[in-house]
Amino acid sequence: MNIDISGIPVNILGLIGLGCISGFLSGFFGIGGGPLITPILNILFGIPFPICIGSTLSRTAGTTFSAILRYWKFGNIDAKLALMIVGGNFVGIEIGVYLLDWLDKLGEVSVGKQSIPALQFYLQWLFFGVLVTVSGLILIESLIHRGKSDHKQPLGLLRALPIPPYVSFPITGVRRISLPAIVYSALVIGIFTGLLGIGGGILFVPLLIYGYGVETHAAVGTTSLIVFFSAAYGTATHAMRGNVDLWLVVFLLIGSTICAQVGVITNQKIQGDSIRFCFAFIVLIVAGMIGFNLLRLIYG
Amino acid sequence: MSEESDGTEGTWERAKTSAVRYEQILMFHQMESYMKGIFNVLVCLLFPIAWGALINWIFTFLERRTGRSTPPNPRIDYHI
Repeated sequence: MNIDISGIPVNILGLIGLGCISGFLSGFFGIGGGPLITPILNILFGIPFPICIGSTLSRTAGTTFSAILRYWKFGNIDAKLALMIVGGNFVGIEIGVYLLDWLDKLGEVSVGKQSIPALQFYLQWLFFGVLVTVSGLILIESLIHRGKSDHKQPLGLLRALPIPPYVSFPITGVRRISLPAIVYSALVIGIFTGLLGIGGGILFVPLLIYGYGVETHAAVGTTSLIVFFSAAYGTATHAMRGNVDLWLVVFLLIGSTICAQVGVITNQKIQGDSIRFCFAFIVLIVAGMIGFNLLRLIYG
Repeated sequence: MSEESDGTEGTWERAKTSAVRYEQILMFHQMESYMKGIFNVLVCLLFPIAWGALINWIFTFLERRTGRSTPPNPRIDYHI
C-alpha cells in the first residue's frame, strides 16, 4: 500500500512503523525523533531532504505535545528556562533555513564517479558530524559515571561563564547562570534545527545537563517543551517554502503519538545515567547508518 | 581657444548627469544592503538577550506578586 510523496511512492506501513519507533524515543529521551527520522526518510524512502526536514519538524511538534502533557503532570518542566531559550532558538532557526536555501542553490557536486545534489551530500556530512560528536561525548561521560554509587549530576560548564546579567531557575536547581550563555547556545542549536530538521532535543538534552547542570529528568521534561516550540516555529518557516507534506506528517504521527506515551512511562522507571547511556548508543547507530550511506556515495 | 558647438553638448551633459545619478542610486542600494545586513546581525545578537530579560522580568514579577517563589520539584533529586 503506497502513497505518492513528491513523486516518490512510499509504503504507508513503513511510515507508521518509523513513526512508532521515533515516538517511543521522543517520549523516552525528550527528543523529537528528528535526527532519526530525517536521514531515514531520505536514505531508505528516497524523499528529498527539504520535504523530510519540513515534514519531520511538523510531526515533531505533534509528538512532543503529547509528551509535554505527561511531563507537566510529573512536574519535570521548567517553563521559565524553556521560554527563555526559545527566543534565541527562533533566531537560529531563521538563520538555518536561510542556509538551507543557500545550499539548495549550489547545484550538484562530483563525488567519486557520479554527481549528487550538494544539499544532500553536505547535509549528510553535517548529520554525521553532529551525531558522532554528541553521542561520543555522552557515551564517554556515562561510561565514566556508570557503576559509581553517588550518581552525581555533572556540574554545568556554562555556569562558570562570568558574563552578566545572571538568572536563576529554582525548579531545575540552577541557582546562578549567565543569560547570554543560555540564549546564544540556544541560537546555535536553532541553526541546526532550521538546517537539519532536528527539533533540538538531541542537542538540548546534553546542553541542559552538561552545560547548565540541570538534573536529567528535569532536562528531558524541559527539553520536550523547548522542542515543541522550536518544531512549531520551524514547521511554519518550512511550510511557507512548500517543504511540508501533510500525508507524510499524518502517517508518521499515527505511530508516534501512541508510542510517545509508552516512552515517557519507561523514562520514569530508569535511572538518569542509564538514560544517557542508551541515548548515546541510539544516536551512534543512526550516525553509523549515515556514515555507511556516505561511504556508498563516495566509493559506490 | 574657442569651441564650436556641434549640437551634442546637451546630450553629453544629460548622459553625464544620468551616469552620476546611476552611481548615486547604485551607492544608495549598496548602503541599503549593508544597513540591512547590520540590522539583521544586531537583531540576531540583541533580540535573544532582550527576550530572555523579558521572560526573567515576567517570572520575577509573578513570583513577587504571588508572594512566593516556585518550589523545587520534590521528585527531582538535586545532587549539585
